[in-house]
Amino acid sequence: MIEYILFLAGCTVMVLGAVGVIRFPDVYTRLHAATKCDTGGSISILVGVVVALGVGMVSLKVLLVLFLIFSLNPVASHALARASHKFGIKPCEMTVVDMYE
Amino acid sequence: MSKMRFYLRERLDTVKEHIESQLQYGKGIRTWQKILVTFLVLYLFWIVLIGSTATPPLVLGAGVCTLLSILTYDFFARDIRAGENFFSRLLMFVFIYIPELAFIFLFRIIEANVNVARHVILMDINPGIVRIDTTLRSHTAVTALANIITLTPGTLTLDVKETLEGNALYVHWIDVETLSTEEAGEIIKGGVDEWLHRIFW
Amino acid sequence: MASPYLLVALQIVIMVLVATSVICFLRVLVGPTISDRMVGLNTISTKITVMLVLLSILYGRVLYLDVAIGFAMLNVTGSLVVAKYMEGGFRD
Repeated sequence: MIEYILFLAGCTVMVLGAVGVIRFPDVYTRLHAATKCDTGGSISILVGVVVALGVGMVSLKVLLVLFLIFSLNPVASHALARASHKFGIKPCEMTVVDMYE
Repeated sequence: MSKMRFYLRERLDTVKEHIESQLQYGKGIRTWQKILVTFLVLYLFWIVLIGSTATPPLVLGAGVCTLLSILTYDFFARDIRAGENFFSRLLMFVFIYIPELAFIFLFRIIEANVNVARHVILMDINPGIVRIDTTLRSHTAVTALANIITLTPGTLTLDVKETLEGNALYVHWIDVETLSTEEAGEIIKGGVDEWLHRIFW
Repeated sequence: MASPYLLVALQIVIMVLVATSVICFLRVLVGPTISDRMVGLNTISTKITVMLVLLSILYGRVLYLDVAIGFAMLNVTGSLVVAKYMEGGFRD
């Protein structure tokens, strides 16, 4: 029963993240939606898979995939944000303050 | 002129403190402890990737991991802080620190997702790039802090610059609450800074 | 091994993931700058990793999990290469 609730939560978060990627005004806010919702949704769905499978070697491998997504996804988004700031892409008009450079 | 001299002396003291702490903590734990930590992590990875508990792969993995950990111990375990009792710290790390971080993190990830959902639906964003300071110095610790900041509600790390007191992180904040560096640091970092200070230097 | 309800649930989750990938692909097509497109592609790759794990459970093949591990590592490497290129090449 728990796994179905986790699947539902993960799917909801994923859909909201995809809508955020479409709706937000500039690159940095889109990265917010992409990173957080993707990582949170993946963690929820994969933990649901682990709960459904029970203890075993296959669950350990699923946990390894979870750990990789969890630790490598922020690195990619950080690199993309820094590169687009150095590339010269300005933040949108709503931005309050820009202390970087 | 006298004010200038005081300023210079303060600056010199900061530099001296920086160098001393680098020398003290830069050495890290002892060599056999580094080899042991590297071996444990590599062997765990090997077992998970092999995916069986038969005897021949485990023996082969033990041999390969021993060789690799003797060759490459300084890449992986260089940034761990030196301490008094090694084995009690290892046990504390596995049984107390990791569950503590997972427990803190679970609620913050849920909060982050709810937050982004609210911003997507209502569009009440107020973005900006602020700067926060941390006293962590080693590369592993700063990377971990930046990753955790990226996954906690409303923040995304842009860049890291080294300063005398540690490191400065530039953070894109989707809903700016304050402009001062210290308050922003307290809000953004939470308790993660102290948690990382127990393990890394 | 797996109950029929679980298999149906996994198929529904895979369909939702494909639908969200299509939404993100719109951003890849529309996106005004190069990093917008990279954001969309990065999101799609993460979803594909999760889909590989779900497919391995659905078909009962453990081998797909290794493919998922490799894909999760290569995905980040690709993003890093494009980010480095945008910063001005590999000179330093």
